[in-house]
Amino acid sequence: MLIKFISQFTDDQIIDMNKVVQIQNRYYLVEDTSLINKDPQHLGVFLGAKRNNKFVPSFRLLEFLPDSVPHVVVDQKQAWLFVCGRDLFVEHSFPSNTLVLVYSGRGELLGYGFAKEGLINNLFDRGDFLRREQ
Amino acid sequence: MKDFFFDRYSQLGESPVDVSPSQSIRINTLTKTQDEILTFLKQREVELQKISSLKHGFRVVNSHFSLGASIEYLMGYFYLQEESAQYSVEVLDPKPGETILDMCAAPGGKTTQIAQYMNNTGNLIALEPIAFRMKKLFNQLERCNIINATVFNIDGRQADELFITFDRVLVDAPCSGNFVGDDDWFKKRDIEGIRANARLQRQLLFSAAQVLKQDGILVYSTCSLEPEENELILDWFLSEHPEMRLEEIDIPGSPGLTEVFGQKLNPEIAKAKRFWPWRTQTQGFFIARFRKC
Repeated sequence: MLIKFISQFTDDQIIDMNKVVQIQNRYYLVEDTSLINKDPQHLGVFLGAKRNNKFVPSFRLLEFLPDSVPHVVVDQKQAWLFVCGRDLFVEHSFPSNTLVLVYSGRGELLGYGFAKEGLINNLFDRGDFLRREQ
Repeated sequence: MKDFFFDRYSQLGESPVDVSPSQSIRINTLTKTQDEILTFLKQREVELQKISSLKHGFRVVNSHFSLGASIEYLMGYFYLQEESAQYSVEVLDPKPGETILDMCAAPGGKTTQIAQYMNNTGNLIALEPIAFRMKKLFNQLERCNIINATVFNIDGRQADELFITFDRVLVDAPCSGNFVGDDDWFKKRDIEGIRANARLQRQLLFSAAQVLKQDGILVYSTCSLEPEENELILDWFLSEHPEMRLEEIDIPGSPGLTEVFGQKLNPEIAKAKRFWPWRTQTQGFFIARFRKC
């Protein structure tokens, strides 16, 4: 699931799969394996989790993606709408169904979506931190 | 019950009144530098005041929006953390590369603060026995960019089952809390509940002492004002664990009480610090720092 997710963005080997550990529905990148046999529930770098049969990435994982991944930079108002779960109107035209990372003007990775006819359909954004607690 | 509790505080020499502390935040330097984050917040017209005795603590003087619903919050640039609650980790004084235990971790305010002071290095072990609280902890670890924490779904009283010894241990113990900011607090609390907490707190401290390295630091804190959960716990702990010595702590607050309702306690307990809300304009809080000799 993790490999399939990454392959939608890039063919690059952005993480060493030998260092990936799955705990229940969550994936972690683990350098120090000395604690694994003690049954931890979380360790190392969180990469994402399976949620409703879909892979939901962590922001760390999205930040590992190479600069060559299509992206769009939005202003403060659009940034706020995007983290509220809204789709974006963009001037730049991406080929349909391209996955696009969304950045604020300050270079903050806000999430990603897929391009469709002048829109970026929101697939995942930082507002998830608030929504998942509800 | 308000009269009952206020009468107790009066018997301890205080003149209790209601208080409304300011909101406080801790800047999270694991995401950006403190200066960069302060600049971002200033651009959003958030007015902050530095808390001089905290490395990264600020009082919120004015904000036109809810700080918890902002991009800056979602980016993990700060943690909404009450001023007094920030002192536990300040007193624990975590260092990069150490092995540290946070015995009662969720929802993660102090865990993320420890990781910050460790600069995301070393081993931070966080324990949380309740599954749904653990998920809140995971969220905060991700939001705040923490990568040196390992979380176990176990009770702090079972810490020895991990077979790890620690340079520092934080026991920010479950407690009865205090009335500041909680209008219903007086309705929910009674002496029996406070005594039940005290039993758990003693067991947690016993467990912490077991897994602490020689010369290691143990910090005990609660957000309770009740002596049964604070000074009386320390008095018991010092008598049961002569290898544990209380240390002076250089933070605001009043000295720990050495006489409680007519009972004389170990005079060393004056080295602990108490945050009486009407004196500090914060939540109620209690902190003590031990060294294992």
